[in-house]
Amino acid sequence: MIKMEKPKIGLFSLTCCEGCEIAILDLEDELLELFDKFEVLNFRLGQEKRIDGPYDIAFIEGSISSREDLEAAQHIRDKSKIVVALGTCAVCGGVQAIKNFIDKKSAEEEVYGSNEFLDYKEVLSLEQVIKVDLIIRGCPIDKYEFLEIVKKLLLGVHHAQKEEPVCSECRLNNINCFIENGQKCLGPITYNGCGAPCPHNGTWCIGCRGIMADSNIPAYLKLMKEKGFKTKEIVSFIRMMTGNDPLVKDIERLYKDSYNEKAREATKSSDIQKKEGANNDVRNNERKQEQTKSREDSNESNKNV
Amino acid sequence: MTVINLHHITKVEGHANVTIKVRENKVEKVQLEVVEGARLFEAIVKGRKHDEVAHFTSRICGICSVSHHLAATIAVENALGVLVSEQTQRLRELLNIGEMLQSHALHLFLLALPDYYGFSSAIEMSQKHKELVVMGLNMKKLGNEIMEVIGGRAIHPVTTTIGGFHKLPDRAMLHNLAEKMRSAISDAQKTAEIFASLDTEFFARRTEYFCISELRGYPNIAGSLISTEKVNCLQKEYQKYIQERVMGYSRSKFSVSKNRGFMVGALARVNNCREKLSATAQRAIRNAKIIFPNYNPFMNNFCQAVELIHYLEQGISIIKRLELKEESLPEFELPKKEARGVGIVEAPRGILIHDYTIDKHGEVIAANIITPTAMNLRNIEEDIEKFLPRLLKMRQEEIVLELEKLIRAYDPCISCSTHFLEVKWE
Repeated sequence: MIKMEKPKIGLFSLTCCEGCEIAILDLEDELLELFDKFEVLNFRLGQEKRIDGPYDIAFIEGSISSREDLEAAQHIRDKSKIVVALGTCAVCGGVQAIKNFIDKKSAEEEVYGSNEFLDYKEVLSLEQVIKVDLIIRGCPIDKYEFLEIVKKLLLGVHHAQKEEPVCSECRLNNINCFIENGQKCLGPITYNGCGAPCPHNGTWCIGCRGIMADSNIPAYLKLMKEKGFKTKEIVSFIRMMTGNDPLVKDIERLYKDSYNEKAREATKSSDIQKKEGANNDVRNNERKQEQTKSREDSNESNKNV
Repeated sequence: MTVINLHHITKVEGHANVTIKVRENKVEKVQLEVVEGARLFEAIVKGRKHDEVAHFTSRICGICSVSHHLAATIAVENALGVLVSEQTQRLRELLNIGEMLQSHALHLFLLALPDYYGFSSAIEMSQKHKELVVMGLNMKKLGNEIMEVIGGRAIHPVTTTIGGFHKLPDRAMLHNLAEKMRSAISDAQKTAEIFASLDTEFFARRTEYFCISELRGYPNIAGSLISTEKVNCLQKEYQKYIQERVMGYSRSKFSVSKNRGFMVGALARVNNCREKLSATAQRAIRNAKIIFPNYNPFMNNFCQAVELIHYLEQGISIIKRLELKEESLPEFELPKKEARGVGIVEAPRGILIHDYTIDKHGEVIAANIITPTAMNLRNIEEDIEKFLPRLLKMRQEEIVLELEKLIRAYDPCISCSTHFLEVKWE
């Protein structure tokens, strides 16, 4: 058997919360063995030593939010055989990409008092500036998904991403559907693979794994409008995590036609809702009832165990 | 003239540089530069609905996502006039305790200890001191498990909402946690002994130490704002004592109190509230023969170790007394006109302030977020200025290491600094 050299890797953070690197460090039981499989040349959070490549694999988290980020990304790409984008910031731009949809000058002035020194760069994802070989979705990444992918990288095996929406997870697990209860949820157009931890725990899917490539966005917009959401509201909760995705970035313009047609229909159904006295409080009450019922149900099943 | 550059300081969370100019053994310039990309959270959170704020702002930080999530939730609840049950309070305290354990263990074993044992990383240290690194990882893992059981996920929790919890933790899992926490106390005591015995630099500079404090109990997620200089005010009046200033030609805002730097974090909490620490934690301080109040910033490490003991015991006590009843979430209405709410919690690195104004649509129209690291930056610079002269006789690598140890003792979480910062001292 030929003794293989340990792959040389680097872990890098651009602009982000560093939650994806923390998620990796959260593999406490596997950590020492994991790092033993590699020669870690560069990992600012975890070690002193920094060698500037060349890397067999570079893991990059964070979005491109400054000139420094852009140069770092390009530099790492030049030095690496494989580049892996870690997490929503690197894959989609992250929460900070909301900056792209607001008046940047006044935002910077508001936070810093002046805007002389700051970049007016648009927040970009990694793929928008360099070639990325593999992406790991999620905010944060799922540490076990990361481990699986790393094992496959070491073995040279291809990793297939799940191409189904988060809805599949909820259906399979009998989780009460937020949308059926009149609440916001991005499940129908978001990549599963996370096991839907948010809906499992009572929070709507915020779309952190990114918009599915073959989503039927007009149908989704129509559905949400029927449920009583205004265009502004829908755009707002889509933009919370993945506003930068090309499928929804220019959402007002791209789906304008379906908007106008659906807007007329939605106005009709929202009139009906007003007549029946539907409002936020009703939605809340329904949700609470469903929740209490589902908690009672799960308590029942807990007791039976 | 010598120039010492620390570019992208290692073993701290986030990106910071330090530049020092020394001419003929005199310190000419100390420059602490936070180079994290500006994410402008206070501006981009505007327009977020009241139920989105906590999920959104937890993304400020990956290590302390729980404290951001809790501070945001509490601030929004204060704006909307939502009162939570005792059970919710206890569960939130427990959730925060999980984060304290995880964060302190990560910092103490992975980031701080290698310096003192002469290793460049915890991984390297594990080759000679495997049991130590494993002990740290186990403590960290326990903290994460607590957050998973209560919060649904260790990073960016998902069970909490305005008014309480969508989903209560599993009772059997809570008891299992209490068992593990009981077993972990001896590890926490060992950690305190290790940090008490380190060859810590003897450096003292008295500053003002801030934390929050309740009548009963050591600082956690509620309480008035207090300091070692007799500050004692309601949380919503924090701006009387904590101001953000633009300094000279700095691009950023510093936090100052009466125009001076101040410190938050474990050392500040112990300085203010050490008599509220658990008995075992107080004994660890006595055994170490370390005097408090203590003005040595390096002691922040030892204080974090002591807090491991305390928070473990406080967590066990909370679990023991929890009844875990199904509760319905409190009802609330959106404000008729704009309403402001402030939430201050203790994050692992110190007090964390979230301040929101919410309009009648339930959307954020104004926000102010001050993180503990942003509050400490000025204090770090003042420390470096006083600390550096005694280092000048050393070799450059030694000076760099000592400065890094000082900065690391603060356990800075630079991604949290939502402000882009550059400081020039002449």
